[in-house]
Amino acid sequence: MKSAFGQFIEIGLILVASAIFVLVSFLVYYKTGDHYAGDAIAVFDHGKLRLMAGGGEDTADGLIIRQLSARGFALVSSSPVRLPADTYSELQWRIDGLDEHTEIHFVWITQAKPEELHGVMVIHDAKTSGRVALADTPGWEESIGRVGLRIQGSLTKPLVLHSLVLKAATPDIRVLLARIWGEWSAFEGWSGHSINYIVGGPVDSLFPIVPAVAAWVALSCLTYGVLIVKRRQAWTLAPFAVFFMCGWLLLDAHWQWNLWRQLKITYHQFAGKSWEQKHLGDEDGKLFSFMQEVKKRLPTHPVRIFLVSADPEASTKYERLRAHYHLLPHNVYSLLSEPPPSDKARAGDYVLILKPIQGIRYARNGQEISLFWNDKSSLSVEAIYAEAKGFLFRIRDDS
Amino acid sequence: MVNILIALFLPWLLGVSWLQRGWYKAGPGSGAAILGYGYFLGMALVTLTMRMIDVISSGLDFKMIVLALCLLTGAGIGLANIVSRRTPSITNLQLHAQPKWQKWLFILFLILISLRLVSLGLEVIWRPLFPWDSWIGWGVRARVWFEQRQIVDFIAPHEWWRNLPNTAAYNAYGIDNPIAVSLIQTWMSLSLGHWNDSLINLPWLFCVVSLGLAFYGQSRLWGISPLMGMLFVYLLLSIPILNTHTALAGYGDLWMATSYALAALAFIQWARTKDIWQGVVSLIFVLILPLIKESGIVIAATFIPAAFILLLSSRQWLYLLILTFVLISVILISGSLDISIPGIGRILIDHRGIMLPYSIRSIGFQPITGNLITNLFIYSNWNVFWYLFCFSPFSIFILNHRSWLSIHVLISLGILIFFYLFCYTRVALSVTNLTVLNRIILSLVPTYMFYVLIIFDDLIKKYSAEDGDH
Repeated sequence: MKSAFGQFIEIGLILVASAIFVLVSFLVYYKTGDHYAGDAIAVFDHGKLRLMAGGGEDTADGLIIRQLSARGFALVSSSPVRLPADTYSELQWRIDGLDEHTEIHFVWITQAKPEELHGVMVIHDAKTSGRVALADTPGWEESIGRVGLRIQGSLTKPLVLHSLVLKAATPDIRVLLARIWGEWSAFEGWSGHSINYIVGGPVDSLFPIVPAVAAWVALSCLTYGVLIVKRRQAWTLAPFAVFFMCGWLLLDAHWQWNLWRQLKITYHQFAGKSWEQKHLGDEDGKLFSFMQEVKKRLPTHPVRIFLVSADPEASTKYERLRAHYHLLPHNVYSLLSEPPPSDKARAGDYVLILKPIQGIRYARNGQEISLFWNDKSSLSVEAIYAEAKGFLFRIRDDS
Repeated sequence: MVNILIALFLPWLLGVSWLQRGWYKAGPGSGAAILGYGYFLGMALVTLTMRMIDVISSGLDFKMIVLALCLLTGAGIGLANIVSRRTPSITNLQLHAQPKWQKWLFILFLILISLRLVSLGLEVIWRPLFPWDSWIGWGVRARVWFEQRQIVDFIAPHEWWRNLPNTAAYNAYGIDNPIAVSLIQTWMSLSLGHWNDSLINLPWLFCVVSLGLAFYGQSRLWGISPLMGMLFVYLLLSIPILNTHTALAGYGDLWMATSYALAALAFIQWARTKDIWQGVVSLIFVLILPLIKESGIVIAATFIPAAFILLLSSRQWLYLLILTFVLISVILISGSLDISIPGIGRILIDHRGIMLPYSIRSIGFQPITGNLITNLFIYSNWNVFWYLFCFSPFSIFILNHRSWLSIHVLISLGILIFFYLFCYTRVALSVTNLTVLNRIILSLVPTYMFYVLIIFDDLIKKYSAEDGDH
């Protein structure tokens, strides 16, 4: 029977060994096959490449290039695409018929500057396939709009372009380890989804922390279980509880670290401020300020307000709901993209129009103002307040 | 300042006054149980008192509500002096009798919990109302009721528009939800005398504290050691999504989770010890569930079959089975079953499927497995709780006497209900965009944490006893 100290050492060694095993397994997994690239593979093969200059034809086997154009080159192009350059960092090509007289450049344009053609020479050594690293290549940045090949030199025999494949290059171990650290130390601040779910790192994590820790705990338990069976020892719960608690505490420390970083932000943003100052310093501070000005011009008793915005169910949904909240305790209806018809509103109700909005005009006739929209609807109102963010009107008795 | 303290602690005193005698000197843990259950019951009574005051006096007056609560508290104390009982104690395990290393670990977990609560409490105090539903629904009602000093009507926006030009009601989203949670925020505003959408959320912090206290108290009453009890309180109160619902206060899900847990923990105790007081407490908190959220009635219904297992004799079970058989036959012959239950809603069973109250109709199997696995096992929502929970079903083969059977049924029904909601109803559509999945599961997890705790404890004791016999 081991002493307590001996058991402590054994448990510690199992934890360390399991952690190393899990980490090494992760590294092996992503260094082999296309696991790192995953879904980030863009394949250009039969039917996806066209000959823009030069002579040849598209076949089931690939794009055959038989001759260069009169200007001395052949140009192959894909159809328009949208590929983030930082995701696709490696080109894999397969071309038959290359020899030392043929010069190949991989070329592309970006979406930002489609008039600028970028390229990088493909060192082929007359082989039929190869790779080109793109990560640090000048011009390979932002969003790529088209890719292709430029062939020049001389063609002693037809070239058969089987495929161009763009994918994420499998990084070396140091980069993978740095990526793990980046994912596990990433800060996840409060956002709209926090109340619904907490990711615990980037959404596209290679090595999410929770399953990683679960694997570590499971492997530690399994290792210890095997040792017990081999030694024919009695089963006790304590070591398994220790393994589990190590996992839980590690994850909890990670979560607490995140909470502290968030608390720092919350402190700087809100601590020591009054309720109004907090809202003025919040992300919708300008809207809150506008609503405070609007409320100063409203009666002290609650009134009905028809709040109009450009797209209340989509792009202005957040703005009009926040405005609704800031206008309380007034009785606000905010699902409008145009003023209410006169049969829905009463004299003494208010119309608040959030800018920008189109299709609503107002015309002044002496002291009277009318709102017009839809070419046939109108409402007689009194102008109460106007500023850059919107207008406040009161519906007149003669609407 | 005084009013805030009254608003925070008078409900506690109220709840404790009504619960104390039931657990009086019941043994280790009874104090924590009284405090934990007391706060929640007190807050529920506050909301009911507010509704009563609003009806009687056509308005909400802080002083009048406080007076009513003081009278209720006095009644609770008075009743406790008349009706005195002792609950049988399962254990006499005391912290001071434990080995030193257990005491130090106990203190460590208590420190970790305290640090967490401080972090969350500061977020509550500093940050204004943040999550979406809190400022389009729950908080809208609270603000209007506070400013109007009256519980005015709220209707859905489309209905408000339809009723124009003559409508005095307000409109907001989520008005299908009961009003208790909004009233809690109103109560805090009344004590402050002005609207402050940070401080109105302090009860959320107190809610999670009461959950921890009740959990610890019930674990000790079950006979679990102080260290094990505190360890599992730490596990529970360190769950990230639970913490988020505390820090980003304003939703009803935390209250729902706490109410369900308090009801279930008392039920589980009643199942084992047949202590009528635990049964009464469970019933009280089951009845509170529909006051909190729309789904409360559905969750409350999961207690019924579990209770039947305990309450019915073998003959009564036979009658129930016959009745069920007759009911199914009627449905199959007539083609449909359509029942409207006043105050609850409509239950319809026909060839298209099942429709429960609140128009929860089956819409065919929805593939949500990917999202479920991601949220339970890959994202950080639950730490590694669900990996641990996966082992619990095996206990059914070992812990299967009658009292355990009703506990397994209660837990299983919760899972079945949520499986049905997630996979066969419109709730699945919001699982796809991850808006409700974890929030609904949050209702179950504190109970399931207790379930895991008592399974481990009973298994350890069972195998320790068997080793002792050998």
